[in-house]
Amino acid sequence: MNPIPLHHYLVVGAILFALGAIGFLARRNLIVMFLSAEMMLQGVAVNLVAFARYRGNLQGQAFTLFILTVAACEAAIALALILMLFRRRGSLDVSLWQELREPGQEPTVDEEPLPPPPKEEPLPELTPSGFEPPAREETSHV
Amino acid sequence: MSNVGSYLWLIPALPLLAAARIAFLGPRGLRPSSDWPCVAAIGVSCLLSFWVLFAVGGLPPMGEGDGHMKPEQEIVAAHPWVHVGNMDLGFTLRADGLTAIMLVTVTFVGFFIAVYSIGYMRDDPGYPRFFAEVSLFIAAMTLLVLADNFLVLYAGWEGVGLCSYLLIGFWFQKPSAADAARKAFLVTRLGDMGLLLGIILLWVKSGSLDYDRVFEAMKAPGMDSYYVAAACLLLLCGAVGKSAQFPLHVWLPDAMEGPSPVSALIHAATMVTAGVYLVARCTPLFVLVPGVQLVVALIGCFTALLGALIALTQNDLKRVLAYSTISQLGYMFLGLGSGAVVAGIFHLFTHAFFKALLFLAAGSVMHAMGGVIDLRRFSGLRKLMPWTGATFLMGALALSGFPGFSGFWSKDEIMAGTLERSEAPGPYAAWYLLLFVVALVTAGLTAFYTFRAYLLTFEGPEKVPEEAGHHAHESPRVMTVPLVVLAAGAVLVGFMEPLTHVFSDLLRQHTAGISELSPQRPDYTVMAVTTLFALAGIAGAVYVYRLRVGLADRLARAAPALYQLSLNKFGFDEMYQTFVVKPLDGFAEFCRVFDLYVLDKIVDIVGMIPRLFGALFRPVQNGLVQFYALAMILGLTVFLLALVSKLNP
Amino acid sequence: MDNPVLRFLRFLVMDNWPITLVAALGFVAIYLLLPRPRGGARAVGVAAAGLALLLTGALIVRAGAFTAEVVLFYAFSGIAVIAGGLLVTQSNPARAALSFALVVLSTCGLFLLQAAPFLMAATTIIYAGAIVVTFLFVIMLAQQEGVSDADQRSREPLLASLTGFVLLGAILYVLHAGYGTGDIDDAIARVRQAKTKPSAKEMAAVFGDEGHNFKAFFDGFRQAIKKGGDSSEARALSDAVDDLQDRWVGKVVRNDDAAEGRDVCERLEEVGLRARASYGILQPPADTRLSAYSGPPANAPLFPPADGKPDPGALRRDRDSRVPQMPHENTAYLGRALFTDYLLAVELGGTLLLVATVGAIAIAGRRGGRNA
Repeated sequence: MNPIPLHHYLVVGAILFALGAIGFLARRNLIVMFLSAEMMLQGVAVNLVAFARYRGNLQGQAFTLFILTVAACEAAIALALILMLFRRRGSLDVSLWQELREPGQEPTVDEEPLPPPPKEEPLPELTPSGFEPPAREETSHV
Repeated sequence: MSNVGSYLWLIPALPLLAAARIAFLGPRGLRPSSDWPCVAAIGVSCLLSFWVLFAVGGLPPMGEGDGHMKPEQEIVAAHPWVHVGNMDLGFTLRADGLTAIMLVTVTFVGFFIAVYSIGYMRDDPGYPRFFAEVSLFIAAMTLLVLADNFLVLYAGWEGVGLCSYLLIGFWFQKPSAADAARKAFLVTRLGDMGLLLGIILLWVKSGSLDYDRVFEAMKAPGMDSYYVAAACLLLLCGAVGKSAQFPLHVWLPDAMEGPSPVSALIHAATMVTAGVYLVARCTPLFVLVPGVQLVVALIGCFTALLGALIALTQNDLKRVLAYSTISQLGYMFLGLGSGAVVAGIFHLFTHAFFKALLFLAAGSVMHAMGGVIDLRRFSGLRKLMPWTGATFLMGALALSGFPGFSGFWSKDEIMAGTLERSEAPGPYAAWYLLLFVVALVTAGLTAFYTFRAYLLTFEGPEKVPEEAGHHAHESPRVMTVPLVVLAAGAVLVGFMEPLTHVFSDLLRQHTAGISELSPQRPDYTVMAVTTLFALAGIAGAVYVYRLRVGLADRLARAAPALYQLSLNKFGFDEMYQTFVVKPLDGFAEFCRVFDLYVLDKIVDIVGMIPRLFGALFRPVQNGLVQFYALAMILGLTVFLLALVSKLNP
Repeated sequence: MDNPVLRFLRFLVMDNWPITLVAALGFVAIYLLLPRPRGGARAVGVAAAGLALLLTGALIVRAGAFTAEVVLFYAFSGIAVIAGGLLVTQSNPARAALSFALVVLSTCGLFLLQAAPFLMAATTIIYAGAIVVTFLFVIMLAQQEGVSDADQRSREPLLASLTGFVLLGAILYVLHAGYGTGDIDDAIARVRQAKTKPSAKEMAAVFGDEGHNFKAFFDGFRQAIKKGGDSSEARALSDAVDDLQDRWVGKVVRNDDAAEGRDVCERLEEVGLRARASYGILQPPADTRLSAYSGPPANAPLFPPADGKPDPGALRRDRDSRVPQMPHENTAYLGRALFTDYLLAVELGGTLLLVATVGAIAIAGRRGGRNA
């Protein structure tokens, strides 16, 4: 019986890559953008491992290991940078950082207001049981 | 002494070095003491010039009628410069008789004028700038006279023109000074253009720019004399511009806007004589075409008369002297045109002394009078300023051609030369006779206006304008000493030629080209006649301005047209204004409007195109990281699709 | 059909319309589900996603032939893709991080399927164990009060998803053009079918039309081989097909020799399988220099030379598919490769990690207030 052909794996890698690209382009949270970029790397890793399998050697796997290494470094630096950026602006929104635009170009702002945050569900309260302790006399400390 | 040639380059280099030093250090470091590099450099140059003079005099003389110099008869310092194709130009300096005389004149007079300036310019805020520019001028002028080919000469020529421009406009805050500087520059530029064309013509026709080779080539039998005449006329054009001869004389009177030492140095003693030097240097060319020589003489004589006539009525002391300079330069041209080159150069030499003296004395007066220079506002200054008055009188006597004074000897030689030319068998003899007569009349006029200026300034009742304030006294020692030295020169240098024949020797025996001219014998008749005319002029001035006070006004009223004509300088300025400046102004205005409303608009439209493209694409650069990433991924997609189009599934 | 754009469109709309439909549904789903301040048509998005999944499932079921490997493959890839979609559309970053962990874990499953157990372990530990946890820490540290623009809005959702899916389409097209084995699979199937026939005539009927025109079949065979890249291997195989065609026309058909025909069929099948195993437009460069420690190098000939001598260093291959089998001591090989051929790269990687550590500490440790 034929095993799963090479290009099936390549297609999975391509889908992960494309989804990551969409996430990177559309999402505005720096962390989610970064996760999307990592997902693109995963797609590439699947490709490389598949190639290694179908050439019968280990070079693709070795390459994937280096991708892992670089991704770890990248994560460390990027998360540190994200923390810095968050400290500066108090938000993870990447759209706050658009100083690189042409001089005279109006900044891109969101016109539609955000909906109010959903109301917190009130925590259930238990009816008190036992004795109610007597209220203490207010004593003056003057 | 034979190694003097290897030191020639120091003569222009030292003042140049001084100029650079003052220019770079003056405004900050040297400020009050920026005079000494200039004075020291010119002084050393002067000593070197004297060395050169004696060295030239000590050379073995050239034989009569032999136009060529043998190697042992010349002092040359050759430095290779331009070697392109068949053009081989050296930065060659050469000292012969003519050069030596010019060098001594320039550096000697220049040295004393620089010393004088220490006192004169003392309180001026541009003190360092003045000395830097004077040093630069001396450097350029010595380079001009030391040149051994036309290109180096042209470099010096333009250099002195630049310095003249800078120094006339020394007080550039004054609009009249700035205008005068521009006028001088533009008018002389007309002449310079002619000089440049002449040099190019000589180069085309002779294939060289070295004096010797050019003269040799132009003298060759196959040469068309029209080219020689054209080249001479073009060179003359340059000389006329630089030496303020008719019709390009209009810039020199305005040049008096510069400081008085500048007027003395540049616009009386040295730079304006560059034209005379050029014509003298090119004598071998001019003798080939007697017609052009006559033109030189005619221009000279007419200018002499014109200058004298205008000088009669001017009220500005420095303007009187300026027109007198024009007139005397005319004499020099007359001498050159008559073939009396020695006389012309001799007059140049003596004139440098007495005219520099007169200007410095006038400057001294101006210094004392608080800047006032109008003859009508002061008089009787002799007692206030005894040294200045006495030296001015010396200068005036020399200028008038009073017997014994330097002007007498040199002017007399020119007269004699002209008369001799009219008697000699040659074309245009009758013309020269006419020129002689005009020159005689001019000599009388010269004496008249010179003494008019002297009498109005120094004689009569003492009158001082209120601007003078407490300045109204004799100038400091540093100014009077140069006056005395130059006065001594004005009296004494005239004797050099009749007693020692040093000029004739230098020019005839040590200068290529000039040696071929026939020697000149002293002519006592002419001497007597010119003396008569000069004395008559002096006597007339004394009569009109001293004995019969008021006669001058009556004369002016009697012939108002003539008076006005002279006072208005024969309307040359107005003429140029109407026929040259106005049409050019109109054309310039047209060009301006065309540029503003046609060319600028076209350029604006062209400039708008990239701006529009920029506006089109500017929104793309919105600073959002994700848009840039989008562009990257779109690019990747396009690349993939391009790859796809190559594949065939 | 020379216009590449038309060709691309035909590939999308006519030849592979079910896949295009799934992709289009996926596009709609992603577009609608991306976070927005107002809910939008979120229900429609969910419906589109469900429909796309159903359609995919149907396509898979139709393909049939389920082995354990196939089931696992589809399971892992399905989880990976769904979790990836969740990552992109989830507005809560913590949940997005968990989706990412899911993506990583299912990718690790795929690694395992592809005989990469060490990578599976390493990726699980590094990504799921370290990086995702760090992410969660950062999310916790950088928590904003209330709702934030960063999570509730998307930057140009339509443009972004459109770009992503056009990119996906382009990649799929390239993969199809360079790696799709459909043609060669068809050819192998016909050869196998012919092999079972008892007589040469019937075999010929499988290959050619009534007029015994075999040229079309053999040309198609050669084209299918060459589609997978113009390598030296493919050229050799194509030449082998030439010889077999001569034998087929000269001996089998003319002499009606069934035994000879069967032999030709077997050889054709072998050629087809070899071509299939070396398929792909991207071939490793011929001058890659690697030691024997790393196992057979990428540029090693996939098959022994044509003279048929057994090659002791040759790869063991799957009997049915001729796909090479990975060595059993997989991890040992990888370790040997890393510490021989890739030693310099490993050292550099270690240095990079050190530098990144120092850098991260230097950057994050800086005390700067807001708007500093």
